[in-house]
Amino acid sequence: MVTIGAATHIGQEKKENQDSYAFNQPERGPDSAKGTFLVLADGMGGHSGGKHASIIAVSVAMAEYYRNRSDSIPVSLEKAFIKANTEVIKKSQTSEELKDMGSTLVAVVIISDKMYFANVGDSRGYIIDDNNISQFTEDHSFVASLVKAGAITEEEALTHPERNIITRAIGLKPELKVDLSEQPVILKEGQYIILCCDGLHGSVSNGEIIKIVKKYKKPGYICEKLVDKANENGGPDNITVMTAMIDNISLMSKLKNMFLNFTRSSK
Amino acid sequence: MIDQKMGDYTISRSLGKGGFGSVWKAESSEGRQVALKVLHPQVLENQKVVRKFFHEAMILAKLDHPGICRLLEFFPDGDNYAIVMEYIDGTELKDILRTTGKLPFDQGFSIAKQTLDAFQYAHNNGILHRDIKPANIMITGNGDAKIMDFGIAKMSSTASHDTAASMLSIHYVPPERFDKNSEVDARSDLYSLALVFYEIFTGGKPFEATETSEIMFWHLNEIPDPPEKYCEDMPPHVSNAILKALEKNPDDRFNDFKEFSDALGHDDATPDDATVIMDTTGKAYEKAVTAAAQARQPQTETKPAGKKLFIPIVAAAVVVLVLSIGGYFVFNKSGDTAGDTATAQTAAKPPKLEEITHPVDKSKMILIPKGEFIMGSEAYSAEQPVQTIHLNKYYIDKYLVTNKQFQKFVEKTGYQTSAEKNGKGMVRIGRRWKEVEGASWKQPDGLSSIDGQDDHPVSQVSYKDAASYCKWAKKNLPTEAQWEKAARGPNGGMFPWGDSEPNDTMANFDNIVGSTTPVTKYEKGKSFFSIHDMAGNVYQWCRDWYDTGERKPKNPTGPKTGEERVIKGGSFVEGMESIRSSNRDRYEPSYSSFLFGFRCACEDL
Repeated sequence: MVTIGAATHIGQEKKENQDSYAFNQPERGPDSAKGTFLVLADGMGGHSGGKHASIIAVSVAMAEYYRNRSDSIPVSLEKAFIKANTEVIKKSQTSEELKDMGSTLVAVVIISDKMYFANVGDSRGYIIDDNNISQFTEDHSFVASLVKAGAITEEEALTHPERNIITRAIGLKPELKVDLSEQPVILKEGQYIILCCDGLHGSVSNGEIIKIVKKYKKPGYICEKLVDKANENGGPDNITVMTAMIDNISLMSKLKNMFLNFTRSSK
Repeated sequence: MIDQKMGDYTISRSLGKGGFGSVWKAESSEGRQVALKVLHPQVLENQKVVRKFFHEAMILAKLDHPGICRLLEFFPDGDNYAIVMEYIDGTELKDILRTTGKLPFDQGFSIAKQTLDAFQYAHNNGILHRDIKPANIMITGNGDAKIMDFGIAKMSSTASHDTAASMLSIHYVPPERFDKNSEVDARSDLYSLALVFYEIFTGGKPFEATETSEIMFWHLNEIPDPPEKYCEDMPPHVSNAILKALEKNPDDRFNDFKEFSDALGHDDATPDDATVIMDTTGKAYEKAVTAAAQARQPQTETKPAGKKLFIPIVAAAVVVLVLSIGGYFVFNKSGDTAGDTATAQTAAKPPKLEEITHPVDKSKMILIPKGEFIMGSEAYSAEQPVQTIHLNKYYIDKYLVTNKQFQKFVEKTGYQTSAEKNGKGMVRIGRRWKEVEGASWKQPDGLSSIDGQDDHPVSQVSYKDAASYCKWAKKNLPTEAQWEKAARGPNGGMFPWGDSEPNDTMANFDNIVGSTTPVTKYEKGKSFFSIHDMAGNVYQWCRDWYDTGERKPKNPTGPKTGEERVIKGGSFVEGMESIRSSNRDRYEPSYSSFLFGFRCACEDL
């Protein structure tokens, strides 16, 4: 069982909220075989272009993911992102005002005790397990690349003046490289998955995120409180957060995991 | 957009889009073909970026080199801003490299030398490109290289996540760019250009990485193969020069483009007085270089940049407004002859000055004692004759009237300036002056507010505004003679500080700063009588109607009637010649410009 919460806010400085998010939790029917899908996008581009881009990215990715019945989950995710990219580009060519719009896009699929993800841009996915928080996505940003290249430290990246520059996005070029989870992440009861845009992770520290998750526990509250915290900290950008709480793993899955863990540790 | 009008231009077709906006081919009302770049609305949302570019545009407009695509003007049009560039009929080097791979050595060498020449010229004029890549170099049918987008590309790289234009191309970025604390200078552009040369001669980049972080790592750490390895016609000294320009540490590279060009050597295949260049069809063109050499004159001059800039600046500033109404300024190319007329400033001791605070506007004023001074110069007919003039004692403001002082005047009187009444004021955009809506003393260039600039001179004021302030403050504008004496002292120095050429510690001129500066800033540039900003910052209205010829020898006040009032002192955009103290210009009393301010004088308190 997964409980999902979400919240979004324009923030304190922007004139428009250009973020979008969506989720689908099919309990029965053919879609249920493809699991629970959460997706979040942070749009870019003036004159409402960013808003258009993020809405298209989110809705196309979701529809495309469930439309595809035959491919594996990672392949479906990749196809969903590529379709979102194509559709945003197509839309951007219809109007002068929309022509340079783009968006980040991050999605996770939770199916049974496994999680798959796909990512383009600098929106993030975290797993929180008690007092530990780990980012499972990689930012496609100028500063993240600098850190990877060894030019600056992670601490320096936090305050770098160019931390807003991203190096990959939906809607800019026909060719798109999507980051995909090579292996599914095995989930445990009590873990939380958080998807968020840089309006949250740029304003609220990991420590503050853990504190709020532990204090408020329910995904809906957690999202609201995280948004409040980002606003308290200045809210320089739009803020969007989605939280999925893993609150019940099926007995079969538990047994399977125990077995897998046993065989892995026996090697 | 097709067939739509923007300013005086009719758009004919799309030429593509860049990080900063869309590009259109357009035709002026006189039939001139231009490339019109319309800035993205989201780029314009960043006022800081626009402001910075706006100031830089004025400098860019002065670049006049056959290897640089010219910026013709920069103007607002409704919500958009348009940059008008020379239209170049050619192919991007990027596309040539994509289709042909590497270029034949001689052809590549010619392009390399031309681009180095163009960049050195821009560098001499204080301009860096900051985004050198094959897509920014256009090759014409004659094989001539034209550098595109000076200063413009930078706008997109300063944009934020809010714009999709923020996707950085890091293939040509120097390693120091990855260190936010390190300054980017000409050696950074040199590195980027060397990477372009590498591609021209070898047909590929020196790295194979495709991931951003891997490319960054390469720039930071890895040593390129010598390009001669992939280009058999390349002499070793050319290969070594490219490697030197690609050094990781800027200190190990050449200091400027000329050094790089010298290290590449000369193209021995070309005769002395003609350049043979192959076009893309293989046909050879013989191109006399006499004309090009003349056009390239500026970069071969060894004089300081300030002097070189004089002609374009003055021409741009004055041609439209003055020549069209029958002005008769004769521009002196050397700028030296003015010195013939002025008696050399003797090493007079600084006078003991009487400084008072004016009771109404609290300005500091200096008492200029009665006596003679030398007025005028032989340099230009408008400044002739050189005369000894006697003036009675008078007080003159030590500093220009500031925004804060003017604000107080407006608060007390409810005064509305000429620009406020018109809803617009004159702003120089690129090479042209335009009436810009919303420009007023509170927003002199129509874009940037004076917030935080209390101690800057008030600007975008007409003669009428200046005179109204003076009347309120129970003072007057200085006569031209009073102004000139306060600037030159008794001995008629060329500049307030004497005859030596100005530099950036003495005056705000020549777009070194690109905007007004606090009125107390240039202590080193004060006059014999300790008056500040008598050269540069903003032009200053004088009381006199404009006239020429012999002046009254005692307390001249100009003619009784006239159509235009005198302004003196030059401004932050003018070059050295215009900030000479004898320089004069004139405008109608209601003319309001973002370069015009004033100071007050009075005979009695």
